[in-house]
Amino acid sequence: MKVIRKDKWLLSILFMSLLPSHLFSQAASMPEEQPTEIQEAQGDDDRKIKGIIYDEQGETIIGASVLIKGEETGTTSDMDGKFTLEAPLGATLVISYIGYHPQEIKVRKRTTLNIILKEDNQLLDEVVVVGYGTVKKSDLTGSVSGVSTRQFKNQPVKRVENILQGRTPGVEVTATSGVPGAGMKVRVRGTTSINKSSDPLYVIDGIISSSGLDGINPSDIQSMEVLKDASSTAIYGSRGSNGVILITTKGGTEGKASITFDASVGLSTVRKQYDLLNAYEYATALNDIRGSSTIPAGDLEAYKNGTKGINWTDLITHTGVTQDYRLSISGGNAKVKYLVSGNMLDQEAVTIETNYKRYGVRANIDADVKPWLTISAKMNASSLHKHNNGANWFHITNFSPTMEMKDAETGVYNRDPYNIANGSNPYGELMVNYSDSYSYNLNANLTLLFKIMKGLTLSVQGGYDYDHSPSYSFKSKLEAPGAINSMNNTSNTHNYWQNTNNLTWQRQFGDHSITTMAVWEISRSWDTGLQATGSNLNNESVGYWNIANAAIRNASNSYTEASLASGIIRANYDYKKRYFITAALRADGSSKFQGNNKWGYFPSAAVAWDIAKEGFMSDQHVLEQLKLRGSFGVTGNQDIAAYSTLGMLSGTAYGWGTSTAFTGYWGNQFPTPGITWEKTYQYDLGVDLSLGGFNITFDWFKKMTKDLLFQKQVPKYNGGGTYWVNQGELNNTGVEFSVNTFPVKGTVTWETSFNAAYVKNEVTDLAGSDFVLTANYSDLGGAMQIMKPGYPMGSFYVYQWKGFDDKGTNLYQKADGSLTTSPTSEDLEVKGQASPKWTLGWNNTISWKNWTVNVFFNAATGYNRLNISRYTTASMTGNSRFVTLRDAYFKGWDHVSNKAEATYPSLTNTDSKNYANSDFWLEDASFVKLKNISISYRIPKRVAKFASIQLSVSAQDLFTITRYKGMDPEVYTSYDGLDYGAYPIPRTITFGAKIRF
Amino acid sequence: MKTAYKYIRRILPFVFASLCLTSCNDFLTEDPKGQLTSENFFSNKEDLDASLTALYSVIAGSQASNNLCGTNFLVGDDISTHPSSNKQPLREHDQFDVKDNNSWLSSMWEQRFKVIKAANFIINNAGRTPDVSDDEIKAAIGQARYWRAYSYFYLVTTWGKVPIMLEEEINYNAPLKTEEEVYELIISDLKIAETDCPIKYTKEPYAKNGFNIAVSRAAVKATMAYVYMCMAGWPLNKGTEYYELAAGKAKEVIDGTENGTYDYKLLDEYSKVYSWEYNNKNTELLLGIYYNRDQTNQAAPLTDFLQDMKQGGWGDTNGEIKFWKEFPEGPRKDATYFPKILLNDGKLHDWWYDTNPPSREVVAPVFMKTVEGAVRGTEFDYTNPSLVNAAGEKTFQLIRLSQVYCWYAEATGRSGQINTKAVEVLNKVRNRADGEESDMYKATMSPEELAEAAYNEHGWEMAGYYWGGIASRARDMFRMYRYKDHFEYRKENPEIEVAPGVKRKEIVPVTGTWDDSKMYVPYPYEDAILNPNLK
Repeated sequence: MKVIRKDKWLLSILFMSLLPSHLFSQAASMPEEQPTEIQEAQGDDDRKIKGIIYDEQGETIIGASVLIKGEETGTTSDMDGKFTLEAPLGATLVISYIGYHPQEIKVRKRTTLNIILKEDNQLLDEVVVVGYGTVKKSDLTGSVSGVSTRQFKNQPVKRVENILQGRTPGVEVTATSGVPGAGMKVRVRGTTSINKSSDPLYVIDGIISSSGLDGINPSDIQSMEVLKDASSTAIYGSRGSNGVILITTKGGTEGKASITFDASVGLSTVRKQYDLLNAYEYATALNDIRGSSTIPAGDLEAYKNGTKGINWTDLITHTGVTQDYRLSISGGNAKVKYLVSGNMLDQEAVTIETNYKRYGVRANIDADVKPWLTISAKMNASSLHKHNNGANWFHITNFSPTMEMKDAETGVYNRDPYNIANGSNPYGELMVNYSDSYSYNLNANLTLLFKIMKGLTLSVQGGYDYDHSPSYSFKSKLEAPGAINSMNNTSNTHNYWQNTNNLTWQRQFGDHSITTMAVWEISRSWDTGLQATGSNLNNESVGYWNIANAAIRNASNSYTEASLASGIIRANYDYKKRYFITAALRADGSSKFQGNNKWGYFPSAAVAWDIAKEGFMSDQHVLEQLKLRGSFGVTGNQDIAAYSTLGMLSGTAYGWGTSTAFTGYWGNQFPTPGITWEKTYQYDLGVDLSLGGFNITFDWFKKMTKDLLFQKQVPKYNGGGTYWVNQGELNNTGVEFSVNTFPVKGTVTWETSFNAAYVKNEVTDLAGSDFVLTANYSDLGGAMQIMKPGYPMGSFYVYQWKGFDDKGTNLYQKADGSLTTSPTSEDLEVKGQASPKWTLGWNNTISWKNWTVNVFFNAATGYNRLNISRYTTASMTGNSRFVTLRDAYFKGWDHVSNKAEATYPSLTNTDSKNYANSDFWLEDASFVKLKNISISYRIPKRVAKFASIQLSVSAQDLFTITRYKGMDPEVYTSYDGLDYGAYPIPRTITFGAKIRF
Repeated sequence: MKTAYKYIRRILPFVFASLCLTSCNDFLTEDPKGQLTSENFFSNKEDLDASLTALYSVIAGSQASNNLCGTNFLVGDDISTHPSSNKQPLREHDQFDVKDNNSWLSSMWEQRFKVIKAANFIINNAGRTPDVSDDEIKAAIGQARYWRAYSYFYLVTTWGKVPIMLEEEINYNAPLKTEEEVYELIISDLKIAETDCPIKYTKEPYAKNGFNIAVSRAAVKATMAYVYMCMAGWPLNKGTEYYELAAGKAKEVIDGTENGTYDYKLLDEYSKVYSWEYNNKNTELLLGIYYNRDQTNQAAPLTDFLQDMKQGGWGDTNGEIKFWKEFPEGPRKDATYFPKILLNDGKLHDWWYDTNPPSREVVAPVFMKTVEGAVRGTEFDYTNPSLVNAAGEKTFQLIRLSQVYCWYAEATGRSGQINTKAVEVLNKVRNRADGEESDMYKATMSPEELAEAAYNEHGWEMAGYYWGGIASRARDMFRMYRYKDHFEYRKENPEIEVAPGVKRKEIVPVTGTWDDSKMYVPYPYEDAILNPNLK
């Protein structure tokens, strides 16, 4: 045993030498683990043994089993972790509990025992959920990364995607906005589709989540598994090519009921802001550039002494308060187990008048109703409410500080007279307009598991997902001079049902184990929409609740439906747990394609070899696992909108100069009946290594997407727009690495896990086009991005900025290398990319007695953001007629006396051309973020008496190390990586208390 | 095993129930509820009406703001733009130096073809509509052909050679057709429209309050007159024969208004022409594009005056000084330009006002044709400091009777003739402009003098109205090959005395050397990369 530990330490040291040394010094002084033994004199008869069972944190363990070895008799620990048992002297007690190492204790003279069970960190025996089944982690043949509660319980996670961010290699999670409840972008092994969604497939307890993850309470999650390679994802066939994320919710546990109440309050603030001209500086700049009579002298004085002028940022930002309460009750007996939970989240944005609320309840019940039948019912209901959509950061940073807020007489909010040509007052629109969007979501899922005979089971599962999303908005005529008031009511429903029938046969013949499975599955989703809008309300006090008050009314509705039918077969075989082989085939029929194009076939296979299980390795104890894996498979994508191949007529409304809407139809779409599945071929090679306490996983993959569902550009002389073709190819190649270990174990325990992933994305064919331009902003210089064979998706297409000429004119490099002030499209260059090449995560949990510290870093590198936010504050272009950025004026050509020091162009030079698609605004967005740092202290139940209490204080997004000049290198507004007034992720300080009764 | 069978028996019904729930083919067939296909459309009169609504909706959208239509007319000698700020896409036209990456160019190109596409949908399919009179089908197709011709006319005078798209299919190798071929299509479409479009519409929405809203026969004839004038001029230079054709078509319109076939007549005062009051009862309007802020708005009011004006202009365009200087005084000039401008100091000034040293960035005359009152539905008042709205609903006036008068006079003169009718109608235009019956044009003029007088009158009638789409001042200069002279003038940029002792000049510089490629603008690079014929 000692030998092993020494080796373990050597490896730890090797690994730790990569980490900051002061952290390591503590590790070296860690004491050796002491085996529990009762050192007392011997007696002769049965003895009444009393004991209390604790975990390493000193918490009592309820329901641990205490058995006398070799006998059937035993007991379980009670609410306080106590047990009493009669046992003969010399007998051996076996104490066990799920998730902990079992312990054996010889009964000697002492009759009162204090037993500390150690957590089982050997993950190899863990059961991992895979598509349509489960396997032991040690038997996995594919590439699957899991996240369990243990890894995120110290971070106050508000939404499910946060759990994945930085914790699993190969999963890139990007918060695209800092508004509470806003969307997150999740990519598993890169972007695999050009025009269709590259979002992974979410499967919650076996049912495809068709309405997203918004309604899920993170506390209800037991584990999440990310299926990455094709042998794991091909089982989801047509929907698997973007990776699959399986979410398993918690169930009840046998034993006495346990009640957990978790409350936290967070305070969020904006982390970084642009340095903008203040009112007086702005007024001076206006007079300097636009002519000295622009701001009259009297006003100038008022801006100087502060009696006039608006600081838009101060006015619109505030400290957002987040309150989060979660309650969970679980328990059960040997036959029936239950979990009931409820949660309430109220999250304020860092800008005024915006918040997000979530209420949810869940009930999970599992019951063995007959020896041959187990049922499992899970139900989740949630209600989401988003009030307003967050302030307009583009307007906050661009509106002139020198203006009157509103007309004193009429109360009408003013437009910007000097800068923003066409846009509402960012404060005014928050004051007088409002919108509320709701989502009421119900997921129900019932599984009947029939044990037909030994090794043969049939599971019949039915799931239903209902989502009603009404939204309401009101716009006041006080928003802007001459504005027309209006209201809108929208009611959308989404329905989805799925029926999955899974017949599984599992047998062991000596050293051979075989599992075979056949699945038949059908699903259908349908969506309805209903919208009523009104304008010219007579009395604004009715808000959005009285359309009869509106003089002009319009209504519209819609219906779409899509169905999928699938058959799956799969076989797994292993020999002595050394050699593994898996093969599967899925056939999918989709209603979205026509005729013979409906059906797609998705085969996959994987092999694995655990060298550590070979006979010649049996003498060593260092290597617990050394498994080589290889897989290949085909997955598909059918995620086009229903009916999109049919070329339906487009509807329009036109008033013919009147306020009545006349309906029109015309043939704007082109029918594309030949469209079929997009296919992704994926190879994966991997190693799982378990070596002296280190669990290391390494994977290499190559994903080739062919027959892309590609929106080919229609020439503008054909009316413009796009149409669907099955052409084009896209490759993703990458490596993933993760390591998990306990550098220090004992009084102080330090668990650290580090992961890194690299992905190289490359477009290899674009339906014959040399390139396709994207992210077109006609008012900012045209296309900002390009797709071109040989380059990654989200490549920027920019002019090469080369400083200024002797008049402060922007100079750009022409294709032939010469310089010009007036570049043409020939001079655009492909540069940079929007998705990170490397994403990294490093999570650390250190516990000492009742204290726990968590430090979690997330980093991404090798990518860019096109900083249009900075461009518009510093350039007169598009909607901006002037500049607001302090440097754009004070470090601009016109202002600096030493022209060599100018960093921004002349604002008066007629020849100076501004393009947002210039590398002047293309910035390296690599970052390291301290996503979470928390410290918590647990008051054990034996101290607090009525419950165990954990108090914590933590900070999310405390700091970011980056060279990006914008507010946040992570967020972006549109297309891929364009920061055009993106809403930054706030810094949040959270105080929490978790009480367990 | 016996029990196992028992279980299987129990379970089988579940399995079969789900397997046989529906047959697969039915289950996977799309039923697009509520949607219309090309095949089942044009099944009745209502469908035919809806196809026209879509066409007019696309037209209204295609000209709703100046980034979609009309910026190329900034080459005209009547209008210029801001020297810096965010006006680069406009300025390139004003400077005769448009690049293929001009950010507004591609939408200007695309919008014309969108109209063509919506027109083709009707031209190619409407014929099959059952239970509708022949006249109704012809009227619908006639209107569609008109708008297709209208769009090609814009294209051929802006880009020259362009692809001709008549089918609803995508063509990545569409060849460029010569100006001759494009004009051939335009004339053949207009000839059909001329016979098939009604003289007078009676039903809404094609007519309102007795005014034609949709394309009427007189509008088609007037368009033909102007198209023939353009064919007579640069680049086809078809000369006298086509000027005669033009005069003939214009005359048909004029005769029709006089013999009671058409209801059009000049408004008695020029100030009413672009007024809010006459927006929906403009008797001289032959063709317009109609907007309404409750349904489809346009974005004209805020853009057409200067940034330092109290009402909050965008500074997109302003008048050129020489044109202003030569513009005859009178009610027409007073209604064309802001008589005085209200600056940020709250005071009314002459447009040439500036301090010493200069404190205004743009010192230029300002057009006042598109503005609307700050309160919806009111007349604009240049002395009212209220900020005006960016969204508007004034009708875009594509063809007015006074233009037809000018075209008749000019075409007559350019075909080497002169007659009393030509002089009479030109005097009608000028007398209204002067606000008095001066009858300054005489039958004793030479045909050349008549033509030039009519050319100038048309320019003054249309000054600064670059959104109009059909016959702006710039397009007159184009067909007469007068861009070059103006280019040289702008390069020279002499100071002009605008008031006693006050000299002003243009602020947007024009440089370079003239060549005839400046008559056209480049193809937008977005399409040139898809179709090498456009390189």
